[in-house]
Amino acid sequence: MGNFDENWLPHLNNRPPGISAYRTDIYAMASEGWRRGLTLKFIKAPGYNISPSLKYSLSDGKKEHVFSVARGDAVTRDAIRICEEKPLTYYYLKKNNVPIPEGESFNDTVDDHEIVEYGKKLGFPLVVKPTDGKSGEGVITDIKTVEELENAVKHVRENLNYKNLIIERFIVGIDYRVYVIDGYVAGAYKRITANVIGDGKSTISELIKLKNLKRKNNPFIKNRSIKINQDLKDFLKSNNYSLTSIPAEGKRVYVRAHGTYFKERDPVDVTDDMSDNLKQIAVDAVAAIPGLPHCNVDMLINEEEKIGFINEINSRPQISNHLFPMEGKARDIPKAIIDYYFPETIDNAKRNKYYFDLRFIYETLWSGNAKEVTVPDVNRGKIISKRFLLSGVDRTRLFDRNVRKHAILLKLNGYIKTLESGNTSIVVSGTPKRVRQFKDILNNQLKKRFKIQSITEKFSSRNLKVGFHIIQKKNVKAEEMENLKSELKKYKNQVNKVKEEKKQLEDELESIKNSRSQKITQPLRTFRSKFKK
Amino acid sequence: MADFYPFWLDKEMLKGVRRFNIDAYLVALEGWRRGLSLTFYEHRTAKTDMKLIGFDPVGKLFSLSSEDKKHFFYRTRGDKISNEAVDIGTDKELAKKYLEIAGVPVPEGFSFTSETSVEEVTELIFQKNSPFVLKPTFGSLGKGVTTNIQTKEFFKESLEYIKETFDYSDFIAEQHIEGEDIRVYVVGDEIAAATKRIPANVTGDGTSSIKELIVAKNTSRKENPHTVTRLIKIDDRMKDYLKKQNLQLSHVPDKGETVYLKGESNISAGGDSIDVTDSIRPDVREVAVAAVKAIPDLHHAGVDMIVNDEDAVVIEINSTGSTALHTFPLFGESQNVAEKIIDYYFPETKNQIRSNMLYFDYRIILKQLRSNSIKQIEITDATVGELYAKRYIISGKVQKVDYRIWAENNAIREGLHGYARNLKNGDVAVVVAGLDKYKVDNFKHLCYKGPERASVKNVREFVWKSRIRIGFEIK
Repeated sequence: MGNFDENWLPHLNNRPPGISAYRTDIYAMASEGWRRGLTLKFIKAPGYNISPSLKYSLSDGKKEHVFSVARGDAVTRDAIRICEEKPLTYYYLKKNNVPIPEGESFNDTVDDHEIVEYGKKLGFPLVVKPTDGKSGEGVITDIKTVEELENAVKHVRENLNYKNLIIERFIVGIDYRVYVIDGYVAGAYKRITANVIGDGKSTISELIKLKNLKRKNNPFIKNRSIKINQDLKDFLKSNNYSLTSIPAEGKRVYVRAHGTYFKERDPVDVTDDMSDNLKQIAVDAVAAIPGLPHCNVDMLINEEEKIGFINEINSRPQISNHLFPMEGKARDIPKAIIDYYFPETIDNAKRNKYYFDLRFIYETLWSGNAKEVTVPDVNRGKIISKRFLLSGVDRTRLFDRNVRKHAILLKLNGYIKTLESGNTSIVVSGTPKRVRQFKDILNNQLKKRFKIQSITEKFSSRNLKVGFHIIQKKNVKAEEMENLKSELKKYKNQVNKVKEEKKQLEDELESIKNSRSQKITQPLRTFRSKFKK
Repeated sequence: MADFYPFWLDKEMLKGVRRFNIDAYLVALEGWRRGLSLTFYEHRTAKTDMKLIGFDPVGKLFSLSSEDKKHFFYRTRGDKISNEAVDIGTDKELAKKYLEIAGVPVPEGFSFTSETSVEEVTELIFQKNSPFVLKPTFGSLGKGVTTNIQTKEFFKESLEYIKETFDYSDFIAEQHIEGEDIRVYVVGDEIAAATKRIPANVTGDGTSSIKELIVAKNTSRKENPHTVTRLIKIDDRMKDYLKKQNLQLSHVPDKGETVYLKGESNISAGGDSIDVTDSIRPDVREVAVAAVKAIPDLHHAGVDMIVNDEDAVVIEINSTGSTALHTFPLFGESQNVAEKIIDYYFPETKNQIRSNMLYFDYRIILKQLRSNSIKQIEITDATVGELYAKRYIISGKVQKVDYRIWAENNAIREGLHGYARNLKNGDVAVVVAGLDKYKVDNFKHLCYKGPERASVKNVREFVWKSRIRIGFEIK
């Protein structure tokens, strides 16, 4: 899994494979409840023909809460609607004196001219955006002239086909995401423009490579590398840099213009740096919306002037950037949310050793075979893990099944597999009593029955997929086949190489034949050959 | 090669599903196809106190529910059957008492334990001058049952064998009654199926040895999901049995000559199953139904009987009796016992129109339940009604352009089931099924469009009558 940033939450290093992007959020949230001993169930939205939005529920046997990504059922339907419709959001914020950028929204009954007149009255610079646009589409910022404003309105309405739009004062500021729950700020991060920090030795080009490696390591932004393109080179040039410049140690060099290439920005934790005043604005904003106990607040903050405005409230935000910031400490939003819904589980032991197979659950639900899947509960008491090394045992189907049967009857998690040495390794994890019982069965029943030569016992510190898994021996024939195939490929490559060389030599020969010196000496050679006769 | 699959089932659905899991699947599938909600549970759940029997209960516990009621099932046994009834069925001695009280004919006999002196038992048995049967009181699957014991030597030998091999300590000795061994599955007042069982045997062709005939017979048994795990095994007992007939494995029987290989007629011992549901006598039916009624709260069960020209006696009751035996007989018609069981629990769904095309992937669920990776899984509700399906073959630049993913997304949006598969010739095959004929037919027009990167030349359509797995699958 690569290096795990020491600033991140250690238990999130045990994510199962194949989980990235927004599934990281779901896994972080669901596993936070599950590792405390709550029962976890994944649910496909009702109706086969509705897009497969996945929900999950957590239950302690008495109460159950349903979540969609990081939004729980304490968020009311009305609150969701208010957040989805920006004019409504602004209405509530304005009513409660929460600072928002000055502006107005217009529907399709208002003509372009009227909108432009309003903009002129408001004063430049301005922002134009569609009322119900998604993820930044159609947002035009820093509009400075009447002509630019006219073009912007026309573009959004005609080219992008959004008839309803908003005009606001453009605030020079930085994008903050502030997570508010239960009246306090649980985490805040900002996104800063793509940049590298010098080490006094490496060139910008090398630093970008290193940065991309670091980004690849981040589960949420791993597919969003900084691309070296003409824009980047031009921007560096305008700042008197080039790809070969070597920035001084600790010097931050931006490689993109501010407000461009959003996907290449870095999430940076600012929870401790944010002033109480600004935090209060976020808390007030959430309090202004009825039925909204937790959510993310998008703020525009002018760091010099220390003023902030609410840009948007997101009732179902992604939380991964709080969990995996590129700089600063991770903020445990899932903990805050689960604490809020299940306060009685705050002090429960956390089972970090186990993970569940989210990928299978996804596949089963998405392919339509199942509509609900419940994950096995983790045991609440003390747990230990042991590894048994068995030598001289023939791993027949019967043997594997017997081992699994006993492990499952004893509610143990773990696996059985064959090591490269040919020995068999059995890992079991569960309560000390049950692990001991398993050991007794192994020594007293299975040893004799399956003629195990020796059993050595070791501790195991591995993270385990919940359940007991039979890991098949590598199929010898398949392996041989694989080897033969790669050998065949090697030979084919060699043949091709030789063919190529041959062709090259032929070409060379041809060119020698056609070369001037050959042509010039041709009569002489002809003469000589004649002479020889 | 004989096809053992009835019209409502097929090989693909049951791929990798074996033994008693087949029973669970057949009952679950029947209820699910009628629109009942189906959930499978891990084997230890607080949701029901149903008794789970057998070596491996995983994947055999499920519930079916409609809006107003819910029933749990373990294999074929539903929760109307009380745990006491299950206990009575397991204890052959107790079961016999209940049957006797109700006036159901049973063979005469008595029980004893390994504490009882062998001499004493032998004395008691041979007072009567007739052959008898020895069986363990708590045995199952015909394990350790020895029939037609006529001599003291054979008795002692058999008892020794049972004690050593199976570790039993309670036994029943009862009168051996000559007749056909018939398993009747009773549901309420009716019989759902009756299957005759005859001991493992081969019929000669005049050229093959007994051993060769066994191999040939096993080849056929492997095609049948019920007998694939119940092949005829060549063991010392078989050799002894042949020796008693002065035969050896190398013997070549005459053409048409039948050679019996074992004494017991259980299918697990290699016996043949023959459907006799339609030909069973009324008096036999009555006895079978009365046997199930004799045990309080039993409702439905498999009844083992010996039937001859005059009598029909009950020798055992199986509260978790198999349906696979009746659905996949080696000879004769398939009987849908699962249908009768679901009728009994959910009579209001009896006339529900359902499609025999639709199934759910049980194997993948089993895999997850077996490794304990999931605790509970609720299957997507079946589309209830008559399914209509088409197979479209799309040609052009359609591979490596995400055509199948596109098809999946569109099928799911339209609420259609089916699959998409790349063909070797570069075409893509898409099967879609649904209740709405228009949507299925209209999918052809969608197929012409395809994803952005595709360029479709032609779409050919075919009628599809085969199975459809619930959901959409990329193959």
